Amino acid sequence: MTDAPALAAEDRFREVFAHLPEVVAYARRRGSRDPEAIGAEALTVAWRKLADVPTDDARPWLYATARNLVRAEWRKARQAERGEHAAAAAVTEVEPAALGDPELARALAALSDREREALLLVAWEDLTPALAARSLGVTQAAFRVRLHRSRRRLQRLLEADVAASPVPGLGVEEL
Amino acid sequence: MKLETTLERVRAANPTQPVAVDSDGLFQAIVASSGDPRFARKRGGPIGHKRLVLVAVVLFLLLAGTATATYLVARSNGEIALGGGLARLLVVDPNRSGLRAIARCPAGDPRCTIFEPAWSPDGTQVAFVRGRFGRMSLYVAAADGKDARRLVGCGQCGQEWGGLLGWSPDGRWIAFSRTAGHRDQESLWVVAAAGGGLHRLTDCNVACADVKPTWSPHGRLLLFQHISNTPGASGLYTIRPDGSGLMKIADGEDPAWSPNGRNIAFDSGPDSIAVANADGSQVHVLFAGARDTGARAPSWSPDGRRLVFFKTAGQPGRYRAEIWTMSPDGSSRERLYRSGCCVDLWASPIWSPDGRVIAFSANSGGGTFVINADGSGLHRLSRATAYSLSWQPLPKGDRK
Repeated sequence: MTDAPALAAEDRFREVFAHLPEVVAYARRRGSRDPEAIGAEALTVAWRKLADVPTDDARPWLYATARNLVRAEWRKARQAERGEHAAAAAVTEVEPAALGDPELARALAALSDREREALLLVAWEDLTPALAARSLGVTQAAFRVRLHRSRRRLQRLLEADVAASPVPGLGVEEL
Repeated sequence: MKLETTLERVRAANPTQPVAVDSDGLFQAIVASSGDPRFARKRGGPIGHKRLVLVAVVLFLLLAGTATATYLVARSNGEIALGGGLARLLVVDPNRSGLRAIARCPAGDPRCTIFEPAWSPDGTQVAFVRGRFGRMSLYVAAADGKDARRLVGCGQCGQEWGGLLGWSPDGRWIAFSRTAGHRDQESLWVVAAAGGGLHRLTDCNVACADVKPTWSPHGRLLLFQHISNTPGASGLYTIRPDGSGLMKIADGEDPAWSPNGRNIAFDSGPDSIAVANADGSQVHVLFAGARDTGARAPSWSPDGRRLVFFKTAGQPGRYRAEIWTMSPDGSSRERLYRSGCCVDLWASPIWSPDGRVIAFSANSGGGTFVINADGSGLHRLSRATAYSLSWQPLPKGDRK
């Protein structure tokens, strides 16, 4: 006998599953060492929590899930490194993948995690500010301010080319 | 280096585009794994008799509410367009269930989205922006979505700041935010709805944005929000449609003209709503809220006797959505709706063209709703949460 609810769930999940390449690309851009595994795990979580996945656009939810998985991957890697090299503790939690533009890579690395993620969700994942806000769990208004600050800060870092280290003199502007 | 240039540089450095993933077998493996989503939230055993009675009572109440709302919206009100950042422009008839797509993104462009639908004053046309974020264009189509034509590219089209499209009262012009070239931030432009006549109203070129243009009811002035890093520069401005007479009239956001054009309502900072004369004089704060739990986005009823606004309540990170109305003097406040926790996506409430019903959207409530202006007849139109709403004035010949 055909199980109609099961088929409906599968059809619904098929729509979510179509985003797998984007989730893998997201994980790769965030420096995951095994982006395919992150993508598969994120989609598995999506299947188990299908009722929680937004029906209009699943990407913000999937990116948020993948973000947590990449962070977990980094934490494990950091713990392993600490075991081998106790002094190497200052690892950025989630670093973007290597870029062909070293000046930009330094500037991005100098941003805070929150600033960088706001910028990259829009610039690399092509999320609109409203969707990116959803992925980060903040209000649209809060995200817009964060995005603007991130862009301003990145702009200044690029102009001054002092992005190799934290920049106390380039504080976040209030808007 | 301008902000736009910065963002484009980050875009260009994108290390990986979406990749082809070998997913053969993965889909089936996941679906065959434990954790069938049908049972994810199910608790307890089979539905008992008492629970069935409870379900029946809830269904009756919901249907009664639906009938009330349906009665009230079946007048001069047309369809509601949902700005959802999706690949389709969705509309819903408040008297029926189900969304209908009247415009779509090109099939081969998965990153394209549609934003900010706005019905023309006579309800015969709908304007919207479409494209990839940062590279969008302004379109106008007939009310059924046919004959869509691209008017002009508008870059980010004010989306970073919740840009809106402003139809002139005679339906001939559309005001909008536009980034043109690397030099520009979000400046204000006007274009003829029939195409042509493109001209710039403001020149925002130093870390600023001019957004949310609305025409005065008589069509002689535009009111908009200027956002700037320059101290004291941000606020509400008016300008004539020919670009002359730029004037700051108030500190605030989210401006709305009263129907008679004599007053404006706006967010007067942090989480407060104020009303002032159209020239910005005699600011009267109507609702002074606490930070993050106050009021925002006021909208006038068509007869000018009530304001509806959105409010959040709760603790940081755990806000509920609320819809309130009040008189323009701040009296007789009434809360029409409160959702459960937690809201992070919503569309500001709007009035139906006949002023009897209010539409709003909140993900904490589970979609897009209409509710009668007296707070009765709450009715969910869709499970989709919109970012903006526009209610079609039904063309006179089509009124029910």
